Amino acid sequence: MKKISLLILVGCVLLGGMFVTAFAQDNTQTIVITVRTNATPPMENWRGNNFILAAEELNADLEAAGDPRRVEVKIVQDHMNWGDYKKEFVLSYGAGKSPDIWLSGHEDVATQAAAGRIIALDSLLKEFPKFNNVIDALWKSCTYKGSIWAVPQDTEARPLYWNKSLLKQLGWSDEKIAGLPDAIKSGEFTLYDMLATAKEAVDKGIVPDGNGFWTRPKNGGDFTAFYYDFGGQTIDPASGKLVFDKAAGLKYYQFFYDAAQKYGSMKCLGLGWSEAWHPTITGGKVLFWLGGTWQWAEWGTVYLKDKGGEDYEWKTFGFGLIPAADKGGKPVTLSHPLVYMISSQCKYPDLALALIAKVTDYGPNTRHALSSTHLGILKGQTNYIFYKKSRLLSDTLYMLDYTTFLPNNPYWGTYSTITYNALAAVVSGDLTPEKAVDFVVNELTNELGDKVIIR
Amino acid sequence: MSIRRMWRAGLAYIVLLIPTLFLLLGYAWLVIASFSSRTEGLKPVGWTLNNWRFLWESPFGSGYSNIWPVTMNTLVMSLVMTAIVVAVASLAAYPLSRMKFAGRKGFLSLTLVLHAFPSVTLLIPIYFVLLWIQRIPVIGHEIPLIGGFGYNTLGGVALVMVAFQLPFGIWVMKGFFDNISWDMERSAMIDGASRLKIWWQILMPNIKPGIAALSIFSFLTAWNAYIIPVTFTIGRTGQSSVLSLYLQNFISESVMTEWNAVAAVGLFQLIPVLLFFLFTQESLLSIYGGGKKGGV
Repeated sequence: MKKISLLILVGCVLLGGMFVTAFAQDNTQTIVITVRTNATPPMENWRGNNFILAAEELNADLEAAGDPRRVEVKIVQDHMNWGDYKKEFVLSYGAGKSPDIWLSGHEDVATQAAAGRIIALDSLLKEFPKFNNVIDALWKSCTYKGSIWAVPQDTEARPLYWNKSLLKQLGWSDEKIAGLPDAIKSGEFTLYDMLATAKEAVDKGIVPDGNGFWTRPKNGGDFTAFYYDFGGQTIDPASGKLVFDKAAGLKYYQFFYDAAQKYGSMKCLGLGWSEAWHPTITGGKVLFWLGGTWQWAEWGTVYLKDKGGEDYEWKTFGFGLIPAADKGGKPVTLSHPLVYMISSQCKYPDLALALIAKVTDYGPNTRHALSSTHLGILKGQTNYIFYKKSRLLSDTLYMLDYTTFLPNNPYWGTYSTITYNALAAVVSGDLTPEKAVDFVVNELTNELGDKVIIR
Repeated sequence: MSIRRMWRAGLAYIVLLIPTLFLLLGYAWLVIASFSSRTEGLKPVGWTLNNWRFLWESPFGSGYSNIWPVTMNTLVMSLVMTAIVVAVASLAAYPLSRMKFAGRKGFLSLTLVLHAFPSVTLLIPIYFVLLWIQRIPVIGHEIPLIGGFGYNTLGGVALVMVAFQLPFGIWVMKGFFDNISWDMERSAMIDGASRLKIWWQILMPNIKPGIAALSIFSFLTAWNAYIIPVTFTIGRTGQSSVLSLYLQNFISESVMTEWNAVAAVGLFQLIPVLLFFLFTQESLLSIYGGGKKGGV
């Protein structure tokens, strides 16, 4: 009889436990947060995958705080081309199915904010002191009309790279080559010094004609860095309108005209990235070129894998800032931070931002930085033990002190296309620098009217 | 057979062999490349199974979906689209073939006009149609397996492709119905059969080659579709992703494409198509023969 009573008692305790557990489970509410990211696999996979670990941490926080909500993260990460990727966000928003967290370039902040598809984060950001760790300059890229609409995910610098072996063939000593980054930093080595060196390499047959100096083969932010270098401005801080500076524009187009027509450079526009651009650069057939810090990983793991990967890169390539336009001037670079935005259709923006706060930390961000060779976004990240493991990231982080950004303006796409079309025409010799400026002024005025200020 | 005839036949074979050889070379490269680390022309450099690793793991890392759910999506979407096309086309083609009613010719002409439209020009209007369907309870986005018929659902993508495939389907099925003798139908009518009964019990069994051919064409169209899935679904590895989108993950503008892996996935995508063609080529070719009078 006692045994039966004991069994009943144990059974009651177990049943009670199950009820309590079930009751406790019923009390929690699972919330699905969708994260949409675009990443080159496998290097950039942490861009989305960091959220898996972040969700675990956040759920522990919610439980400790007695919040009944639990987060389940659903990541949609792939390697779409950016045009389709952005179109997808607009269409999914229209269908009421936009992701809660959306990653894109900072230049989309203005367009999406103006369309009401993302929310301003100013008040919510204050709830997460961790965001104070983000490098102050980067918030500028997330700001539109005085509000912050996004959180930086990663950034990079666009250094001027050079081939040390080719410089040696030109007669440069090891000391002179090693001192080039400092010569650029001090403004001693200018853009036209670079072109003169490029021309010398072409004349001596060290590189083919046209390969003295290369930029990216298609339109992109890199070109704007040169415009800034010549004193150009793209946005009026007071009105937020786009700006085209005719004097700076003339110098900018003159530089590219000279590069292509007089200095044996710029035979790179229109090339395919993986078919021609990367193989030529890594094949030692170009003396100077403008690239991105993230390309270092691609070159090492893909194009130079058989030659020794990163070791070969350190032996053969050097890098520095984009030289100043004039002697003693300030060199530049350009950063294009990718940023996390929160959709205005997101029902739990506090949870979405809490997840973003979790990934905006030294561990997760460094994981991404190391595997993708993007620069860190946090103050003091160079002191973080694991970040220090990457020589490239440590050696290039100083470039953020010289960095510039593309403007956050909904009409930047039109502006960028027009200014690039003029540049391509100057490089091909179809337009003189003066005519290129006239072309830009006419086109900008026709297309954008009073949305652009011509100075 | 006279020598002259033999020469003629031989010549015909030679003429056919040359273009066929190019096609066969393409397929040979596909097979060789998928099992080798690198190829120099048709010569493999190092045999490997690594290109096929997508069968047991995600080739892009843990953040990316496996190929099997994507394959299942493609299969479901293709089957749904095929079933709807065959059902609607045969139902529409029967009255168009057999009955005289006002607007018949106009309707036939209109379907041709729709067929002439490039799908890309209709993407935005179709998007709004999908948004409208999405608002319908259950049908919009709550049907198991296909998700529904709204935006970012397999059913929605299938429905859009049905719209583009139907004009072709209606005309093909009409051709087959046209070739069936009136006598059979008249006999059934004298015996008191209804129009629907005649359609189902008399005519449909007699146009089996047509149904098979239209099914295969529709299935292949859906299996290889790209522009519609990429526009109306979210992500190349998302819940509604299909094989043609998944394949795009291997191709990058900025990073060197692993063509051997692309060949393997391409071959994987091709296998059902080849199997379909091998087992059904007779029916498939009969689509151009105008059907068989009196059925099989």
